[in-house]
Amino acid sequence: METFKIIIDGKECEAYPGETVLEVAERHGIVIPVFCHHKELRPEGACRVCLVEVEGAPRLATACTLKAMPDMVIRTDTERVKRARKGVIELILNNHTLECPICDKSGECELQMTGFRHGPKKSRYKEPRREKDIVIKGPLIEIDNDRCILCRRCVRMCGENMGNRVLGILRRGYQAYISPFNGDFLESGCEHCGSCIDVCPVGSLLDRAFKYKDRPWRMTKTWTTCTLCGTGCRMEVDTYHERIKRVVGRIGVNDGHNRGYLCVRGKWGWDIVYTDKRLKKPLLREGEDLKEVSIDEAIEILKEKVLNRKVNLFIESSLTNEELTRLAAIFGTENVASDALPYQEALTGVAEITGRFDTDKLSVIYDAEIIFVIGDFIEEIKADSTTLFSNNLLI
Amino acid sequence: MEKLLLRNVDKENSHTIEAYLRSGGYSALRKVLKEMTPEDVIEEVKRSGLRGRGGAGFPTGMKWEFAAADLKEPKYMVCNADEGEPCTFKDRIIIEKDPHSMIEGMIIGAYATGCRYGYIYIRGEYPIGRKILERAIAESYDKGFLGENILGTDFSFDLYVHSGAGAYICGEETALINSLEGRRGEPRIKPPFPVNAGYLWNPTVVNNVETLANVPLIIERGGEWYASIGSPDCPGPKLFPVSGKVKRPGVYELPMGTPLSEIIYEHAGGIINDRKLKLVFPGGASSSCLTADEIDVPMDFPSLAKAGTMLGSGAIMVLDETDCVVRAALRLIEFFRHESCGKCTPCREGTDWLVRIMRRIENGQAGEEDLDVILSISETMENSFCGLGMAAHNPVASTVKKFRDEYLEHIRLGRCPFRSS
Ligand SMILES: Cc1cc2nc3c(=O)[nH]c(=O)nc-3n(C[C@H](O)[C@H](O)[C@H](O)COP(=O)(O)O)c2cc1C
Ligand code: SF4
Ligand code: SF4
Ligand code: SF4
Ligand code: SF4
Ligand code: FES
Repeated sequence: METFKIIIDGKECEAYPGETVLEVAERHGIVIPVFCHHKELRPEGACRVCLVEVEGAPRLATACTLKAMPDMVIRTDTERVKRARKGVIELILNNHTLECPICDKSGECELQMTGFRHGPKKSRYKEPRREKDIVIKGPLIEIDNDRCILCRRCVRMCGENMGNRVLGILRRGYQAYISPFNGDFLESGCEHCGSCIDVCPVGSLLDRAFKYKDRPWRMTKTWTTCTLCGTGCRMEVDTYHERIKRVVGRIGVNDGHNRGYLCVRGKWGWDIVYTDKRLKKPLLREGEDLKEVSIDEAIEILKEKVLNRKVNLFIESSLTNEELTRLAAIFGTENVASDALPYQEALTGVAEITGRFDTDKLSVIYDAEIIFVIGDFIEEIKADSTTLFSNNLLI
Repeated sequence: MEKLLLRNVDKENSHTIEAYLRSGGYSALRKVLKEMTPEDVIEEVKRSGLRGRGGAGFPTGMKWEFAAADLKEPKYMVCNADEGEPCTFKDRIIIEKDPHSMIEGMIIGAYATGCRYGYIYIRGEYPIGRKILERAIAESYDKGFLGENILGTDFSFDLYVHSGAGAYICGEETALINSLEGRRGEPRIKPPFPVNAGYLWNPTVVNNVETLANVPLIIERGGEWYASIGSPDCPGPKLFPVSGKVKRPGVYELPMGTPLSEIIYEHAGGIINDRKLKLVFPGGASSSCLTADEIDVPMDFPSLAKAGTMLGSGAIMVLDETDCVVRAALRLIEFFRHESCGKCTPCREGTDWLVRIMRRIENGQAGEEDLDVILSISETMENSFCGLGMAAHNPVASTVKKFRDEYLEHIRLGRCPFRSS
């Protein structure tokens, strides 16, 4: 693609057509603070913290909405820009609760970080803090509007990216607040994908299962793959002393094929790890009783019973490669059935046409212009891909 | 001066098509459809120098040219009849007394730019205006000025009325379009501008009522004639709604560039009880004020910009020596706080903070440092998303600058000096 040059803070930067000044700056390591901007969302231009000076323009412009043009000269470090940023952050902080000590977001809060780096050092606000006192609780999600900075990331995420249009803004001006459009998450059709929580820069949209459970800075973060269905979404599991505290998708950072988007199972299904119903050791029936045995013992017993007999093994598509290899080594691959088999047949058909057996990444759905859906069962089996679909279908 | 925009309003039943036709109405449309190409019309409007009367003063011919150049179909023509600013009531007189002049202007504009459909977005608080417009549109359909194959030509144009729900911000053109689409009334990012991506993301021309009412005049008498009226770089007749402490408040039609002092003292009859004039908001509720010494300014876009304020809608609000500046500014900023859509931080939070400080000043619970805070909030609000926030602080900031003593007196006395203690 043909590129051109723009100058940011005296530094020559290469820009691609259609890029915003913010994107160019980010690629070149120039920091511009943002609140409403998010990599995965359409620009909104609402928070006004990303102001920059454009040579020849009388007003400051928001870098997140300003398209880079050849030979543009931008400054992000002048006194005027710094004062403007400070002014905006001061306005956001004026009525903010600043209850960081008890806020789940503390430690990974963008308002904390941006406020500290770019905000004013002292407040001039003399008025009593204005409280909205509007907390909306769903079964898994909670919105605390006194922490909300009205960046609208959640509204755009739910409406435009997930295609669910659950969240909206009620009232206007200084009284505006975020709510599911008819006040209730379930009734508004929330699918509990958790994406709104993921993009909220502050502690306003909360994961209720995580509320008051732990602090972001002391948990161990482990990147892994969700095992709750065969899609294999990438996710971050946060643990403290080896106990799972929450799962986050990290939309915008996650480089898995799901790009951080999860479904309700991935986001909140992790508690099955700790249920008493979970089998942790194989059990052997002896008369009325069940006896705990080791996995090797269990396999030996199983082998005795089934080898050399006509056996059909039914494998669930969510098993991992490691589990499958182990099973194949023991039972062979002769008489295996799986809910994934029809899929293999479909693939064989596809391979006959395209000449390849491998499929594209799930995320190419984003860039597709037309999607053929064959069979209408997708919603049931893969909540996650459905959201990707609806994203494309609804826009 | 000869009445042009208000030529019909005093006639009996001036809102009916019969009355409009009797005074030569729709002859401009006939002329356009019979004798002129769309390009001719745009050329004529450009020659007239007509600038939008909705507040921004954008050259109408140029706007139409941009829309005509965009090939996406269908295109939409939208008349902005949301007139929601306090003390602005100029469009109302056209809507209620001469609706056909703006409808005719709209049809001509649609022909020039290639619009197939039109909407009149009228503020929810004008229910009578809405009825009158609906009736006028029906009459116009009856006579064949609207609908398919207008006057036997290939040109077709359908026109509908849409009522707002009471939000001032829906007068901002992109918020208006959002609202028309059934979305929340909030402005959109510009660019793209409505002429390229407006209603349903198609090319959309948004014009003010008064702007459109000028169009038949320009076609009938020619752009050159029009350009000779009033200020050379901003010509034409202009409606000035005058309110406040004048003897004869009302809507006055005068050439662009008429001095503000002349409007107040000659046309509006001067100040009530011949008291002293204290200050004027010359361009609606969001303009910076002018003091008694500054009112010799010509009322047009460039002159008022040079005087550090703006023409806006042309609404003139006059305060006299018995009025409290702080209270007036407080009242105005309360309006903007109420009307802020809440999308962007500076306007949403800035208007609220200003209201709270201003209330303290008015109640005598402020300090001098609060005045500096006001000016710095005002600077931050300059960076708002749309015109509402960019201008809302003007009445407060300009009065703090020009009437600092009166503010200080509030602070010193610990109460409003204009109210008995
Ligand atoms: C906050 C705000 C309110 C506005 N309200 C109105 C209005 O009530 N009527 C109007 O014609 N224009 C209004 N405008 C101006 C419109 O955005 C737009 O510029 C105008 O309708 C264009 O028409 P014109 O070119 O004929 O002036 C408003 C602008 C802003 C920023
Ligand atoms: S949202 Fe951020 S700034 Fe606000 S209370 Fe929570 S951690 Fe503190
Ligand atoms: S969890 Fe998903 S569906 Fe529910 S409100 Fe958040 S983004 Fe929308
Ligand atoms: S809830 Fe969070 S994401 Fe949504 S608007 Fe408020 S701060 Fe932004
Ligand atoms: S300035 Fe901002 S908050 Fe105010 S009306 Fe415009 S978009 Fe809404
Ligand atoms: S990040 Fe640019 S306006 Fe919010």
